[in-house]
Amino acid sequence: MRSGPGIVTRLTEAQQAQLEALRQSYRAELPAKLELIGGAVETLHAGGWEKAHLMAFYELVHKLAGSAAIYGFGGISRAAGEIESWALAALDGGLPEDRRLELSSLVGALREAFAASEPDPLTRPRSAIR
Amino acid sequence: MARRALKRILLVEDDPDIQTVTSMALGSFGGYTVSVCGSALEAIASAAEFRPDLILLDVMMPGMDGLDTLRALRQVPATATTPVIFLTARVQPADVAKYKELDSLAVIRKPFEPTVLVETIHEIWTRYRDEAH
Repeated sequence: MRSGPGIVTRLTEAQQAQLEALRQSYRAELPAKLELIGGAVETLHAGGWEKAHLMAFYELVHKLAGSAAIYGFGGISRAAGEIESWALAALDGGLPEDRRLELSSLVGALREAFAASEPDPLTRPRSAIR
Repeated sequence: MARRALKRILLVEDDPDIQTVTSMALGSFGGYTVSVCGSALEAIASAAEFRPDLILLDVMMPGMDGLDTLRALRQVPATATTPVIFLTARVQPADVAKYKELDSLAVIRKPFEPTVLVETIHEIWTRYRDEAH
């Protein structure tokens, strides 16, 4: 139900169904995204942790962190966000051995978040800054 | 001079998943006519024909980022003065200062909830429109 152009005070059932369908479609694509991330991790291991590979890996997890949150999968977003922070730190400061070892547990946490995933109740995010 | 109603939104966003849910929310929930572009080049190519009232612009895009995209859109007569809202997770003070330098209307922080985005855009546009009076 809308109270004016652009104002959404409550979604109609049809609109809710539309949004839910999109969420389920997104969820169905998550295994493929996780596989890409897994592949990127293997590339890091195999490729000597080169910056180009790290950057590609960062972009994958950055996108997942953002889109998962928008689609209501907060747990996945948070887990991807942890990996994103790891990747940024790695890009900034290099990768000592102990930091490399962290990645496995972070990716494990992401897989657990996926296994547990149901859309979170939507919370009001940070609003416009101006 | 009265500012027109917000009807046509150009969404410039490279992530297909975010394109999908955002354009759906803006179109279905907000009632706007939305054109989606996945890159700066697409946006520049379509701007003249689409003639948006508002541009929603992702900042982090491969190739030309949102800031350079805005500079390029300002060279297109159809979007030389079109209000722009940045959509971004990069909201550190230094980043926001850059967005203000480019005279963006507002910055909406990612991630956003799709229905709240529609409301937020409405509020921003109402304020922008009312500032003209």
